[in-house]
Amino acid sequence: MFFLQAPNNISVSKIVLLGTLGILILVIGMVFFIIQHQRRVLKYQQKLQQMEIDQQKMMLSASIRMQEEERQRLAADLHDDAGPLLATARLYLNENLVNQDKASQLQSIFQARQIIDETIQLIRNISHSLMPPTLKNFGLESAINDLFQKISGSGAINASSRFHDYRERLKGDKELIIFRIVQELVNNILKHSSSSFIHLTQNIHGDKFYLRIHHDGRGLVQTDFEKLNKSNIGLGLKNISSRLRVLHGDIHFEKDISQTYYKVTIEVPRDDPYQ
Amino acid sequence: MIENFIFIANLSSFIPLAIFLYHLSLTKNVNYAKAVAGASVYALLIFGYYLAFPHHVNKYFDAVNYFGEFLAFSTIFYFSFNAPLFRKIVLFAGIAFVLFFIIYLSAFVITELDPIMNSVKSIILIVLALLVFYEKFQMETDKVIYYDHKFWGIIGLIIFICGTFLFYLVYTEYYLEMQKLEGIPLTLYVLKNIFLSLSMLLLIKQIKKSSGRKEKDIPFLDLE
Repeated sequence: MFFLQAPNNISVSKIVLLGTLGILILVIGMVFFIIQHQRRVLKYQQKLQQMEIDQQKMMLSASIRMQEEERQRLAADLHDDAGPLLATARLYLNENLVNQDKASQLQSIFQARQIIDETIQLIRNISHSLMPPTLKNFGLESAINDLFQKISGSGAINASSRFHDYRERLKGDKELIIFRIVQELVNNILKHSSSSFIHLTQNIHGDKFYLRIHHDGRGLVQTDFEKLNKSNIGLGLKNISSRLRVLHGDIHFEKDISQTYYKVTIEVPRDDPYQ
Repeated sequence: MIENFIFIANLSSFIPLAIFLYHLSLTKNVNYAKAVAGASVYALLIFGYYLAFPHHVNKYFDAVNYFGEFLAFSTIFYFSFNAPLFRKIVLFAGIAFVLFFIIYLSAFVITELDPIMNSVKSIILIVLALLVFYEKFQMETDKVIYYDHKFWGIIGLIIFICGTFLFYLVYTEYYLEMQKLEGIPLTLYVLKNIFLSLSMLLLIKQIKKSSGRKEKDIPFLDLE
């Protein structure tokens, strides 16, 4: 221990004490340096992430609005295009048709049939993406009740919905996004779950708006949803996620404690954070 | 006075063990290999301290003490690493230490608080601790390092190893003077246990937080 040979006037214990203190200060200093540096890096990363998230939100919001505008335009097109087409077809099939010669009759029927085919094609193309008028005019509650009544009316499945607290309508965009999410979820249930009932409930708790869908078929739990969300399949679920991101909302898939049915809960803040 | 301090220090070593056992009771799917390793590490650390100032029983007594302490600390480091490469480094360091240990043991008699043995052990452990920090530093994360429970455990160990390094280095040569400073390793030992306890408490907090989303009591949302 040559380097620790104490000079006559300083004791070894003092050297050890000071040396130990020095080492400890160095260690603590190093740890503080690491923490400070990491905090700075994280702050910068968070700033970048926030910017990226803001940009994504803007893009998503813009894309959803554009989509809805497009749907409205299509609704108008249906009115403006399909209406006149059908009116023209009717003209070809008027009461004078019986008085015409056979060649003219065949020609008129052929023309009318062509127009009807054209109209069917037109309606088929745009009917899927129409803006539900019930939603626009009467709100989410009516639109969802209407949707569930239609499903129940088919006789294949028992569908019901109950809104417990929907005195104030949500903002237009929000209602539409939630409606699309519900549509997507219901479609998935009808397609994959083989359930005998779907029941939707709504309520408000604090500053959150909740919708819960119950069904008794095959379903997903949260881990399945997250897995599908990360995989290449499950485009519908990805759409749900991106729509919820715009709303700052959350979705939770779970099996009930009784293990008899599945629950999907949508949680959306009542205030509109992105506007 | 020093006897009381030793008693307190010994007592403090049971706190992280108790918290560790509580943590096991909270864990749903217990990894028994890790649990046994963890319990052994704490047992070795506690047992190791009882052996830290022993009167010689036989010449292998201190050797077992060093080996046990190294094993305990390096096990903690091993589980603190995420990357397989770093875990391999711990294994290689362990093999290197064992080789050195065998050669040294066959050539010399390991004494109580042997300076060479202590230095080699401490240097290897300090390097491993720095590697843990390096790995944590390099990892892409959205949380500052002190939210990681392992960080506090490593801090406790590094403070203990670094703080006792000089003391153990000169203990044999300046036995009488060093007796005046016996408070240093004892204080650092208590500090280490406090940090280990803190680490375990943080882990428990994280387990409780991630143990699943609690169902909120929202009226009329469920099927009646």
